[in-house]
Amino acid sequence: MDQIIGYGAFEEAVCKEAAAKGLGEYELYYQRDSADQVESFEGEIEKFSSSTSEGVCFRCIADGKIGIASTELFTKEEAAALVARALQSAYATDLGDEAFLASGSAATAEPEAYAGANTALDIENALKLEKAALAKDSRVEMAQGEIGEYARVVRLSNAQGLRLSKGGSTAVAAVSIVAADESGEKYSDYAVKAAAGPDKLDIEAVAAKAVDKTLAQMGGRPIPSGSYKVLLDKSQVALLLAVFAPAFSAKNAQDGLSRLKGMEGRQVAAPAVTIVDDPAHPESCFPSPFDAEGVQTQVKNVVENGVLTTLLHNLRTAARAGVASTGNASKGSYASPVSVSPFTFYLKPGACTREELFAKAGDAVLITFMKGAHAGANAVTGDFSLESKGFLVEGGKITRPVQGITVAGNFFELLKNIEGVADDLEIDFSGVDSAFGGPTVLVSGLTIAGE
Amino acid sequence: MIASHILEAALEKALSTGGDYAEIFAENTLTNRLALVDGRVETVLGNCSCGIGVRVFQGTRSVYASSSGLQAENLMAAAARAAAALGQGGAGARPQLVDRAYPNIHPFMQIGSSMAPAHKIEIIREAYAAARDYSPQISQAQVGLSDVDRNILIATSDGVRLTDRQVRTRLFVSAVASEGADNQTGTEGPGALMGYELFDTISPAETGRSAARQAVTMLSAGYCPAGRMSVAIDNGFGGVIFHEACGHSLEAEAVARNMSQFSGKLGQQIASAKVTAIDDGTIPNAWGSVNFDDEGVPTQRKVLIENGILKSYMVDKLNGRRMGLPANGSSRRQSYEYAPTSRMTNTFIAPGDSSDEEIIASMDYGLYAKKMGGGSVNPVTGEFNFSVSEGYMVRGGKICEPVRGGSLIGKGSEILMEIDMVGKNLDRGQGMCGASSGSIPTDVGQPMIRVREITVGGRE
Repeated sequence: MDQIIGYGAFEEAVCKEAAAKGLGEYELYYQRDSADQVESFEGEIEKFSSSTSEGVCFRCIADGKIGIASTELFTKEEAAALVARALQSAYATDLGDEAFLASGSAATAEPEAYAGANTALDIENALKLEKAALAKDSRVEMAQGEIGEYARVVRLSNAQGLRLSKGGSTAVAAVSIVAADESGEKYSDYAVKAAAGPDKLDIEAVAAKAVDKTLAQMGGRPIPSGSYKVLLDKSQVALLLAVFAPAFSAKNAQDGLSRLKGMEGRQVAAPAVTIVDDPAHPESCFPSPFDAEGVQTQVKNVVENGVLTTLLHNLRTAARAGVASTGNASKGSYASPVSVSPFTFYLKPGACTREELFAKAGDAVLITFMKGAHAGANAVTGDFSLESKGFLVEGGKITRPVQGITVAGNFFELLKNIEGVADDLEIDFSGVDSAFGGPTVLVSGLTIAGE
Repeated sequence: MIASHILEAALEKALSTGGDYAEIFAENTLTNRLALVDGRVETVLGNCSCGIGVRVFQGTRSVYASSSGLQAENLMAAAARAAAALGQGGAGARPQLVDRAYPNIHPFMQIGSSMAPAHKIEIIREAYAAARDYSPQISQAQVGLSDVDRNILIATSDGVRLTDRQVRTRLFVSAVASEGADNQTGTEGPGALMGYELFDTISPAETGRSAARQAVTMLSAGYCPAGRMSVAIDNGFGGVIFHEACGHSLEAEAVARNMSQFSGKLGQQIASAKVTAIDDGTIPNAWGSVNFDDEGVPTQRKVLIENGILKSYMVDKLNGRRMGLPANGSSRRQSYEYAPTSRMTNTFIAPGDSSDEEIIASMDYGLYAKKMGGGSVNPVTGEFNFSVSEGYMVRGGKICEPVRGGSLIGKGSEILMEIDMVGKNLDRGQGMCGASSGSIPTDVGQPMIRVREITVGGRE
C-alpha cells in the first residue's frame, strides 16, 4: 500500500505533477462531507451511523480542451495517476475550453469550524421525537425518529491563484409514522424539518406534523376520474419545482432537452408567477457566495410576473450563448462533472391567504402528496402522471380525504394555468444541495384518475 | 487492501464496548463515465473511490461508522467511533482471520478501468449515430457509458476474511423526438456484471435505435386515458411491477419491524396461483448478481412466492436476528458510506402457460404497457406507482394506437391477486434501485402478464 498523505500535501503533489506535465491552467475542487445519524425504534437507539468522506476533482486544460478526473485516495502515486487520467480525459473529449476557469472576483466564505455532531443531544432528540409522536394519538402504532447532522466544506483553488472556501452544517429531524384505523387499515406518512443546529430543532412540531398528516388520511378513497380544479399544497409546489428545475438549465436548453429553449423574454407562466433563485437565502445553512466554477453567485428572478428573464448558466453555457454566467455551475458530488443547478429555488408568495385561495377555488381537490416523480415525470417533455393523495374541497372547505388517485398534466401548461397564489411560502431546507419551496397555488386543467 | 493484523486490531477495538459481532467493509472502486451529447464527447471521467466502514451489533442494535481513505488510522478511528456509540469501556476479543474463497461464477475479461477511452468512444458514437439516423424526427440523443471495477474486502469477528472483484458495464441511450414544441423521449440501458465483452452480445447501434423508435412512436401518441381497466404488461423491464408492488415489501428491513404488508404471512397465499416469483443473485453475469453479498454471505436462488404462496423473504444478518431467520445472501450497499441491508438482486416472475397472443386477445378494452419506466412503493401500505413509457390501447383483442404519459397505481397485496394470466417468454431488464443502503444495480423481469383491473393514471 502506498503511503497516505493529508489533503494539503496531496494538493501540493498534484500541483507539482501538473507543472511537470507543462499544464498552465488547472483547478482543484475539494469537498469534505460528514453525516451523523441516530434512529430510534421502540424506545431505544436502534441505529447509529457516522460517515466522513473527502474527495477532490482535478480539471485542467490540455490540447485546448478540458480534462477531468477525481479521487478519494490521497497518495503521491495517486497524485500522478490523477493528472494522467485528466490528461487522458482531455485528449478524448471534443469540447474546447470555452473559458472554464473563473477570473477570481468572487467572495470567499470560510465556514465556521465544525465541531462534530452532538451525539448525546441527537440521541435525546430522536427518543423524544418517537415518544412525542406516539403520545399524540392512540391510533399511532409506530413511530421512528431520526436525527441527522450534516456538514460540508468546499475548497476551490486554481493555478491562477484563486483560493475560495464555503460550507456549513445543518441538523435535520425526521419522523415516520404508522397508524391504523378501527378496521385495521394502515396509514403511514412522515415529516422532516431542518435547523441550523441540533439545539434549534423543534421536535414537538415535527412529531405533531407527521401525526396530523397521517391521521388526516384515514378513510381516504378515490374520486371519479375526470378534470378537476386543483389546489396544489405548498409542499407539492416545491416538489414540482425540484422535478422540473432541469428545464431551467441553459445546458439542457442548448442540448434541445428543455421546452424553455429560446423563451427568454417571453411569457412562460401566468402573470402571478415569479420564481426566485437565491444562493444565500437567510434560512439556508449552506450559503454559496461562489458556484462550482468559482464564479460569484447572485439572487435573481428567473421568472418575473410570468416572463422568463434568464435560464441558469455556468461558464460554458454562458460562453455558448454569448452572455455572462449566472453563477449556477454545480456539482452533485466532488466527482461529478460541472453541471447547472439552482440554489434556493422557490415560487414567490402571492397576496391572498390560504383560506382566501380555498374560497376562490370553491369546489376543487387539494393535493398534499405526490410520489414516483423520478419515473412518472419527464423534465424534457414536462409531462407528469403521479400517484397522489389529498382532500376533496367543497365550497372552499375540506370535506374528506382522497387517496388511490393519480394527478396528470404538463408542467409547462401548469405554469400558465396558475389562477391564484397564496402567501404561505415554505421552503424545504433538509438537503445539503439545492432547496425548493413555494406557496399553495390554484391550478386548472389537471386530470385525476380514480374510480 | 488492508493487512490482516490491522483488520484484527480494528475488529477487537470495535467489540471493546459490548458488541457481539463486528464487520469491516473496505472498498477501492474505479469508475469510468463517458457522456456524449449533441454529437460531442462531453465527459470522460475516471474516479477512484475508496473507504472503509465498521459495523457492530449488540443484539438487534447496530452502529456503523465509515470514512473515505484506506489508511489504518481511519479504520481504527472508525472502529473506535462505532464502539463509543455502543457503550463504554471494556475489552474485545481479537479474532484470527482466515481467508475464505468462493468460486467466481461471473467471469469478466475486458475490464473498463484498464482500457483507454478510444474503444469506449467508438461504442458511444455508434449508439449515437444509430439513434440520430433512425428518423429525421430525432432531434437529440444522449449516450452514457459507465464501467465499474469494485474491489471489496469483508472481515468479520467470526474470523472470516473475503475479497471480491465486481466488474460492471452499462450503456445508456436517451433519444428525443421533436415536432414543433412537442418533445418525447425514449430510453434504453442494457448492462451486465462483466467487462466490455458485454458488447459481443449487445449492439450499441441496436440500443440507440430502440431508444429512438420509442421516442418517435410516442411523438405520434395521444394521452393515455384515466380510469380502471385491464392492463397487459410486457416482459423485461415490465417486471418492475413485481419489484415495486411486492419485492420491497419482502425485504427483511421492512418485514422485521412489522412495517410490511407481508409481515407474518409466510406460508399464506398473497398472490394469485398463477404467480411464482424468484430472487436469484446467482445468474451468471446478470446485472444484479454477485458472488456473495456485502456482508459476505453467498447469494442464492430464492423462491419468494410459489403458485401464490409466500415462501421466503430477503434476509440480512441484522434483520435476521430480529426475525430468527438465517441471512440468505441479500444484504447490499451502494458503497462504504452505507451500512448494508436486505435488498433485491435479480427478481422476476417465472414463466407461465399463456402465449402473448392469448393475453392480448383476451382483452376487450385495456392498455398494453410495452415499456415501463421506474416506480416506487410504500412497503407499509403497499401503495405503489410506476410509469408507462410506451403504451398502446387494446380494443377487441387487438393492439391499437400508442398512448403517452400513463402511470399505474395500486396496492401490492391487491394487484398480486389480480394477475390472472402469465406468459411464457421470460426476459429481464436492468435498473438501479434506491433505498436506505443507497443505489444498487438490480434486474427486474417477467414474461408478459395480464392484470385484470388496475388504476391507470392518464389525461384523457
